[in-house]
Amino acid sequence: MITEAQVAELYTRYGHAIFVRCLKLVGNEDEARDLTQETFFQFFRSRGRFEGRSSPFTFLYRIATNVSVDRLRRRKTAGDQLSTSVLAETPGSSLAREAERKMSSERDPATFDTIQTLARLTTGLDDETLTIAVMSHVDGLTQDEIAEALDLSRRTIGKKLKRFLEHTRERAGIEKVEWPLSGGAGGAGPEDEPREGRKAHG
Amino acid sequence: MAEMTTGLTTTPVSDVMLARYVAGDLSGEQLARVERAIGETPGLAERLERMRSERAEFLASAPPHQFAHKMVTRLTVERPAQPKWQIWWLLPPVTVATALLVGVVYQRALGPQSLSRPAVTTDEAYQLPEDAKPIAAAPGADAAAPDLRREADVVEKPAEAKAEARDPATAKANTLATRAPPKNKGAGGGGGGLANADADKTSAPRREDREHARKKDAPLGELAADGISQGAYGAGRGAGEGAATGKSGYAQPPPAKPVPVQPESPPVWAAPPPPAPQPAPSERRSASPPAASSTVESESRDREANAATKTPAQRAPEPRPEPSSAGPSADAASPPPAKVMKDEAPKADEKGRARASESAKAASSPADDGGDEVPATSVSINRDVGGRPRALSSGDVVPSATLLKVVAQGGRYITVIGVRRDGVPHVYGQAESPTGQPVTVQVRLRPASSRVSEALFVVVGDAPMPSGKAQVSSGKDAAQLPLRLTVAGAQRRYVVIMSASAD
Repeated sequence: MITEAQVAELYTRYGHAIFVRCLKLVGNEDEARDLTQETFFQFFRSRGRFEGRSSPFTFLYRIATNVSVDRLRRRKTAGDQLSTSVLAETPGSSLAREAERKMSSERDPATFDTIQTLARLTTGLDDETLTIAVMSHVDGLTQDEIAEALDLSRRTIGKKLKRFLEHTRERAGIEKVEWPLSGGAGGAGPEDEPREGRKAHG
Repeated sequence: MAEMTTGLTTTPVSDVMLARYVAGDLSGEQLARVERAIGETPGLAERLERMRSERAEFLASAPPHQFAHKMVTRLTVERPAQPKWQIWWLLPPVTVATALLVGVVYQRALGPQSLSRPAVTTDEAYQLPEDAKPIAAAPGADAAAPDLRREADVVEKPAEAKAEARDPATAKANTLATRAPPKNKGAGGGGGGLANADADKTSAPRREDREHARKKDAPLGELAADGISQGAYGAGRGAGEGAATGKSGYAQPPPAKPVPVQPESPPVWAAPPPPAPQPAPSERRSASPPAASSTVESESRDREANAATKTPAQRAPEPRPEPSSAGPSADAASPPPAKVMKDEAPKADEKGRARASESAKAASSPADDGGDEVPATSVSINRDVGGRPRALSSGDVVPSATLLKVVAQGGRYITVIGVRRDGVPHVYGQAESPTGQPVTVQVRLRPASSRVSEALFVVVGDAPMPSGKAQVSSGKDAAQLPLRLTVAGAQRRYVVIMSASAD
């Protein structure tokens, strides 16, 4: 049985990082908080799969990415498109306002479209592949950085991205979307080969 | 915060690694590399400081203890939903198990007739003369007989057998009957040796035989006698078959009594035979086939001559046969009876058939011969199907582990022997009937896990079957035909019913 102390300890260490991750993907503080709670809930509920084989952070990070992208998919389904106007109307703390400011100033619509499209195209992908794909095509990280951040081997990252590309091609025909999109996260679409080195971004 | 969320990708340390560093999640080389990068990169330290302040602000806005309380409450209330796969994975094994169960029930419900492949198709009844001398009897063979009882559930049920006998329908369907002659003085050649008649016969030729017998308005027993005269130890169906082919029989076929069977009763083996006329000794002798072994034949004739001078009441109790000095090894060294039978069984001809008919008529009348009352030898094998007994015919195949009830009468000892696919006989059970009343031997064929076929023999004799003295003389595989069982023992008379085969 999970105790409050255990939850509090884990939340203290990783809560903020998970919140930031969710906020970056969904762009809404309230949603990000909700997704943070959902991430920890799923973590404790499926802690049997975790088994301490890796850092709790990487496991939480994968869950956070998955639940955030899933939220984006449901938004698309409900026709609730995220927009900067929605962000502007969102009341919240200074943190939210800061996020709003950054989203409006630094995040171009192409990036948002990239995330939305990616959310649609990654339906059916496993958590790990989805996380790697988002880190590669949305966050603009290199395979080495992804491998380091997730405590995975470079070879695993390459395989997962290859799997993602195959899945994306298949889904692109179903979703009837154009891929790769112009611009976006460094202009890197799934058709691009995974970048070996860091490219200037931003 | 914004910088962190968007990422300063020009820095050598990604936001994710920085977040892990702030959370204290790094160690070893990763930690050293991040710390080195912080010291070397001017803007990274500031970024790190900002991230820490944002983290403090975040934790202040959402205190960990509140979050933990909500989380624990939610974890307690919302139990994890049962994933679908945890249910669906049960579907394949459940389906397979259900199919197997249905198959087993279906198979058992239909009974042996539903199984098309008869592992053994052969005649079911043979008999030896009372004076037949065994080929060999191992020393201490009789002593081993009591052990046989341990191998089967032996239940004496005279009443049940009688009731069955009173029911003509049941008797017709269930009884494999032969009639032992009151005084069988035939040559005892191959004493103890029992052989099946031609085993590759199916029911079709038998029907033809019966039709032929009816057309000729002659009891099938005549044909049986004919068959015996041609070397077949058959009675009932087996004898008729032997008559038709002339191939069946044993190496030293004695002039066994014919099996009187009512011509109108469709299954020859089903109806209890009426008393058959006792053939004259001379006729029987003339009807006997050529001997395959002169030594055995001469011994048998001596016995025959000796027995012919006495009435059954005068006859002293038959001494137990002395074990052969050669013992079991001698049995093994003996030529296979089946081969002898094949080589030396004479062909049927009209003349012999006519003689056999006369013999059969004479043998069917014990009173004419002044003979004593020897109970008819009858054997029926039933399996319990849905609470009702179902008769088994020779050649039927039943599932392994089937419980069979073998009701036999006509001898003091009833022995049920199974022959496995590897040719090793296995005594299932034995029952003693001192009063000559029918006894029931319950046997359960080997379980399916043994994956062996077994042919079932029922041996009715006047002495217990010595353990290990039954052997398959031809065909090591029970599914191979013909399969013949040789019984070496002290029996004076045998009736062998070869029937069900477990698969």
